[in-house]
Amino acid sequence: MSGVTSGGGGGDGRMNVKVKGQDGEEVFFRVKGSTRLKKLMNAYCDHKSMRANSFVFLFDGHRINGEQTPGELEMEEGDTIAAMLPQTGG
Amino acid sequence: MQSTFLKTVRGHCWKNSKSSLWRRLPNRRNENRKSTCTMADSASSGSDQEHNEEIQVKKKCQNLTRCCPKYLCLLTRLLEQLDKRYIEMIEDQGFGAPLKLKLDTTLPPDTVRNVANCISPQGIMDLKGQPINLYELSPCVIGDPNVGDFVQSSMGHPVDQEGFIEFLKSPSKAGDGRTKNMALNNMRTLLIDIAKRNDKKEDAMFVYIYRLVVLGYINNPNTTISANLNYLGPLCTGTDYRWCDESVDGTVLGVTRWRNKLKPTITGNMLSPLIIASDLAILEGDDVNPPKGGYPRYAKFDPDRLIRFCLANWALLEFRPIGESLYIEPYYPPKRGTGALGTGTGSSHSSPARPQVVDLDYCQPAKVTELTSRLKLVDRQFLDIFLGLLKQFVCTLEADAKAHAQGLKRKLCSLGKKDDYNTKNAISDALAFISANKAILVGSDGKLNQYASDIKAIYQEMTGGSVQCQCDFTYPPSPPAKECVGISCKDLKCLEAGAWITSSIIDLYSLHLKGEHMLPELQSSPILGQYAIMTAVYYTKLVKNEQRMGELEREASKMGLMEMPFIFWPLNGDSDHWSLAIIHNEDNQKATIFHMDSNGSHNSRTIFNLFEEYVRTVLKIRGGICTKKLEVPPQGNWFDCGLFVLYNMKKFIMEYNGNLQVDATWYRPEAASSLRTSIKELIQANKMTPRQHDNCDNAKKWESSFA
Repeated sequence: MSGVTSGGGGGDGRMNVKVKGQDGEEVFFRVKGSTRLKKLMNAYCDHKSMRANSFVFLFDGHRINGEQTPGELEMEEGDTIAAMLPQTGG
Repeated sequence: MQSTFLKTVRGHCWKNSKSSLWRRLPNRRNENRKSTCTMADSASSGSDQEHNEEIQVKKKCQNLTRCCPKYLCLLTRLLEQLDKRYIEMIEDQGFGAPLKLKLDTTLPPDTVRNVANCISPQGIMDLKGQPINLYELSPCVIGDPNVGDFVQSSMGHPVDQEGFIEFLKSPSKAGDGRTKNMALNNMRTLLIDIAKRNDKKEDAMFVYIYRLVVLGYINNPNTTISANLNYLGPLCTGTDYRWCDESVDGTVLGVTRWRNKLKPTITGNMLSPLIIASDLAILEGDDVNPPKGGYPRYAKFDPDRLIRFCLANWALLEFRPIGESLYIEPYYPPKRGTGALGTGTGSSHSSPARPQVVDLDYCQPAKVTELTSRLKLVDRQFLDIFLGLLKQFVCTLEADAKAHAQGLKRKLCSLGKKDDYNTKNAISDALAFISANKAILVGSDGKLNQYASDIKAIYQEMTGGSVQCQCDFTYPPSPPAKECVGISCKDLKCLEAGAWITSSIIDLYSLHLKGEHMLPELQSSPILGQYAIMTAVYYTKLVKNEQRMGELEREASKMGLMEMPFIFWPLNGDSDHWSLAIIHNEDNQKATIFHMDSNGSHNSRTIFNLFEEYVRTVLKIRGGICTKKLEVPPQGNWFDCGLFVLYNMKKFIMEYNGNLQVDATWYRPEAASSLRTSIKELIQANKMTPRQHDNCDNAKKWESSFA
């Protein structure tokens, strides 16, 4: 990724993103373009009273890594991150 | 020692139950109102002597500081003992083994008539003519939407309050057929049986109906009840109940197995009531949000409440049907405030719009109070004995906890400070042990007991981290790339033999089927670079209807799906099974949808319907859409489906060249199962690395080596 310059949120500028759970419930976060998403993910887990890493976070269908930043992912104001529960099956 | 004690108890109860006990019951016909009042509030309206007894019993309850699940089986036995004359056979195979009961089936005609009257077209009544609300009786069945879904899928009948009662009332209603009739008949038979046995002893009967309505769904009429009386308690497994459907003691229990009529072997501890109860205690307490890094205090942990909770739910907590189709999961209480410990959304289940039953109280306090007060009236002596036994077992439990904690401590010490798979597992076991046994290990001051805090100190030293250490790492461990997967201990555990594959492992292997990490044998694929593999959980978005197509469309264009000739979709959608769908997009003119399922648990029709809509509205394909279910090699067990999905994907990528002959002999099933080992090797070859917390020495060292 080329980095923060093209981020629609405008580099280090703040933007609002929402995390949408499987049940459709939305939680809003205000983040800087350079904040590691780990922070947002932990905050969301906290909010749901789940352990850290209880969710799989998807942005545009791809898994998000805690080390990435909104800037790297080219997130824009109002973008949605999906929080899915891990699944298992036999 | 315990068995001798039990014998004494049994003899005692038996003698009493025949003579004086039943005589103490009030005569309902003459003083119906008055006696009801006594039940509800016996402490205030009883005679002085009764009042004193009540106080004494209450005092005894308060003296109990903690409770253990072991008492449940004792309770069962004692209750059974009270009614021994109606039970033909009790097969006691020793401490810890299932207890088998066979009920006597000769019925006096009078009683049958009396009780048959209680089952009116309006529903099921108790002997006072009060309707029994089945929802209040079995929160575990009704309150949990996940179970509801399952009942729905297996019986084709939605579970909602009205619907469920309807279901019980009208056995002959077309549509649901055998299962429904069976359930109803079983319940009727049982009720009639029990009522007859308790001729003129309404209180006892009430108690029994109460219990057996719950059991009624489970058992056959001429009943051999096999109960897994669980003496082990949570200590043996330390399993976090939120994941109880994943793997316990290496045994996988889940809806799919029941659905497939595979006879389950019940080993050890499936779920500990104590764990649920400890959540209950937290819910009721003030500390819904524990201090950061600390434990919730159990200041309001109330053993009496726990007894009542378990009494109301014991059948569902301890009894599982064997060889029958209904699978019951414990009920997770609805979230309050921000939710305590995330009980509402545990495990892989989603919680879509909950049905309107959430207002049901977890513990149905009113009913339970009534039940316990009746129980006291039936046999106060029994209660005393029971409480005595309870105390004994609390001691045993604490001793167990101590022994187990010492074992863990030894193990951790012997492993030393290493960064490998075994150590991580040992640490994760220790964490699970502590989190599963909070109620015993955490005192009323919110601090860990000494033996538990020892363990905590050791693994803190080992990991340099806090209690929250999850031993997670990112895969592949190159500096953060756009495509990577977070792997936890739980995911690693699922690679053990017989465990179910998690979504993270599916995604991990998918990484090796495309892009820069592609396996060498795929480089010569005829469709190289022409396919996309969806994230394993993405299918859920498609299943949940509230996800609007617009959103899917936007995401599809960002992923470039419109231009992809092949799109692979691992399918699960919270169904406890993995299968594979492939969309073949031919020049945006027409499309073919393939479905591969290694054991046929997924309904291809439903899947095709979903994908047809997706292909039309999202991928904008105007032409014809073909659907094709492909016969693939069967998995032959109940745990490898995830691996078969991955292997089918790999084979498809390697072999597709315009035309592909696929049938049940496409490859040997062992080839797919062997992926378990291959994936492990991949992970080991890529050196897993802890990156979870900043103050972890290992993580820092590792990171600096890349700087």
